[in-house]
Amino acid sequence: MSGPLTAVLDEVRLGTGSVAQMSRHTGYSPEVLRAAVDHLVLTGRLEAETVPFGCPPAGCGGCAASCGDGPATGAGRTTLTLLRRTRR
Amino acid sequence: MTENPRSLVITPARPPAMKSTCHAGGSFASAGPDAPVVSLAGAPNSGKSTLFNALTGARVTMGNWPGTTVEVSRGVWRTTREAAACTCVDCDCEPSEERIDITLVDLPGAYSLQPESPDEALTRELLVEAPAEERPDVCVVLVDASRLAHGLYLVSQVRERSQRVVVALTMLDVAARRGITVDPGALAQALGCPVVGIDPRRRTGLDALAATVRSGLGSEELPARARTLATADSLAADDERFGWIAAAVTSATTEAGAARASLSDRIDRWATAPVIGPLLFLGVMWVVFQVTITVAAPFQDALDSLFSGPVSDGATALLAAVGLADGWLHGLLVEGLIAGVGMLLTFVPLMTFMFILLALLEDSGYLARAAVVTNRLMRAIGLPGRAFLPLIVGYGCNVPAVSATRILPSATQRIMTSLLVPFTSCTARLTVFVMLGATFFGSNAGTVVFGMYVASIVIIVGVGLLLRATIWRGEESEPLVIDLPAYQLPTLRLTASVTWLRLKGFLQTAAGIIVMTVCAVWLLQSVPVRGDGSFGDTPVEDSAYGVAAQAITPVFAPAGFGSWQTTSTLVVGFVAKEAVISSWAQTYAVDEPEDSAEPGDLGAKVMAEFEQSSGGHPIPAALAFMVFLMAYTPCVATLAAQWREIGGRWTVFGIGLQLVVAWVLAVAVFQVGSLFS
Repeated sequence: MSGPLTAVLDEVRLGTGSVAQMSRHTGYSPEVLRAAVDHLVLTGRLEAETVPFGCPPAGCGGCAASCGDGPATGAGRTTLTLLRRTRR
Repeated sequence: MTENPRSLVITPARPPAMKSTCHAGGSFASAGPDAPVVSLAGAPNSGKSTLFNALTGARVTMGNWPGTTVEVSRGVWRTTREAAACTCVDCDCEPSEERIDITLVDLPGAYSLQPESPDEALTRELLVEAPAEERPDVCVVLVDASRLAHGLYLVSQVRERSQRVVVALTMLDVAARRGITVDPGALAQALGCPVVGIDPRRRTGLDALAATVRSGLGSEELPARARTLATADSLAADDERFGWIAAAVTSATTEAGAARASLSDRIDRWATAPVIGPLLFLGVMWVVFQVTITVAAPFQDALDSLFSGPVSDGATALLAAVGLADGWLHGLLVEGLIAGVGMLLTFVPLMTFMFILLALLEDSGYLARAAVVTNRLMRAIGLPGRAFLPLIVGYGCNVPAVSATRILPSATQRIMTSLLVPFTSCTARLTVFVMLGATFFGSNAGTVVFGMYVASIVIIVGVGLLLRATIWRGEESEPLVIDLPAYQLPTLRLTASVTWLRLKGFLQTAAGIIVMTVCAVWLLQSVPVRGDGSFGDTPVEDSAYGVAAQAITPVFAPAGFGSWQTTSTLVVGFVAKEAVISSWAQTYAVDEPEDSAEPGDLGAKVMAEFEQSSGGHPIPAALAFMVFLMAYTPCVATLAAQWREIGGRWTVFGIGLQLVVAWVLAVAVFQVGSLFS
């Protein structure tokens, strides 16, 4: 079995959409995989961006997206988008 | 102050108290050049500074580390232990404690020993690169128990060298609240070094930590952990460390929430599966629309009866009392504003139920799964996974959806997503779909409305593929990884709050648009362009409104709805879809439908118009009209947002794209549909 970092990179390349799915595929716990994802982001092998999910608590009036100040911080889930990088 | 960490001059706030017993001057040690040095290392927010403050109290100095801009705190940690038994003869010594003062160095927060920042560089310099005799005697590494795997990376690196290491586990209470139990004994065995559970805020576990550190000071350095892979490759080396971490986490932690997570996991095997997942998503959305329309119908009935009956009659009577019963004011107020706003309010129950169901789906965690499902669609059309967000927002309102495209990293992706957003069927279009669905399809209205949403997805994918195959060839998609939360029971408070916020937003927007549009349509319908009518007293077909609509009507004849009464609503809909039905009602100068399930006068007139314009194929003509309504330009506010985000050239291109796609699809639906009707 490959290490957690290699496993995460492989899963990202395969298009696995969630940490839970990664956990099922690799056998590593979600906690370890989250740490692995964060480490890969820190070391520049992946790029992460938190994007809002769902409406902000203050409703449309509090949504930065609607007033042109960029995406809002949603009240719901946070998602990560990962980009493969070649910096290292 | 020198660069040698062992020779730091620590200035205690007060000199160490000397006990006046026979033990004084024995093995007493104080912080100073010869005092043992213990360093505190750990990631930011691991509780390091809290522990440092708890151990040193006011005996602290702070300052930049020599030659750096990194601030380091130093202090005296006074520890005590029971002294050896008294050997005096005939003395009255009380059993005493032996005090060991330790120079405590609070290293900068560091996740690793890789020098990614000045803080980490200094930590590495002190723990790794300094000569052995200059390193701290003991390194205490703080690890947040609620994020154990994250904190153990630093431990894995520290343990690669022979030195005295103690792991202090913090945040055990936070971990416990999350259902995570960490066994310090098992963890110590896995890590090969002592592990102590502490709570610096409540000052618990500090004595045990002191005892462990003192014990470490009197013992040999721990041997470096055996590595299974010796390599210069940074990824392979890190992979080996994480393998070691994974083994430690597995052996030392138990999760009480594992059963719940496991249930979510089992559900997700189906909910996010490549084939079943999308089908399940479509099934769920069908239930949402079917339940919404069925449950809301009686409430809509009641509200419609109220506005078309007592409210309209009351207003008419009031105008009659002041002698304006047949004037233009009656047309504007009763047939325009009251009918238009009344129509909007009849949709409040429908919107309420839909928003409730969507909030339940969101709060339960299901919508996050929908994101995984839609992610595959996004990648299929060459968009990054995160493009699902603006498109999902678009199903509520296209305007913020266009603004939300700025989360995408490249200009090409922003333009492409902005061009696709108008094809998402916003809630304003839902009102028209419900009205036409009830008029033409009766009890199957819910299924037809749901079908329009499916058609919307199909159009997005189709147009996306078209753009990718023509304008943006070779665009690579990027993966999206979502940390799916466990399913949970939705809370009443959150559901009610979200529902109210969305309903309020819909009403505020729609009310303003309808009032303005009703006034504009009334004005255009009052201005005579031909014939001998006068202002406010002219047949609609001879008004500016009617004549303009008639000019574009032939274009829609192949789609089966080539009548000016119908096409005029499309012109109004270009401004805002919320005003389509009210302008229809104004044109026919009748009351609004009694309810969306049983078409009233407006429904009957619309059906008759479609019957005539389609040559006896009203059903395919109605479907074609709904498809056109869904695919063409959503509203001027969306255009303004597009103009701001992607510029005028692409906005104009988008309008052309929307009109062409809408017209081609509408004609195709009618022509094919009329063959079977």
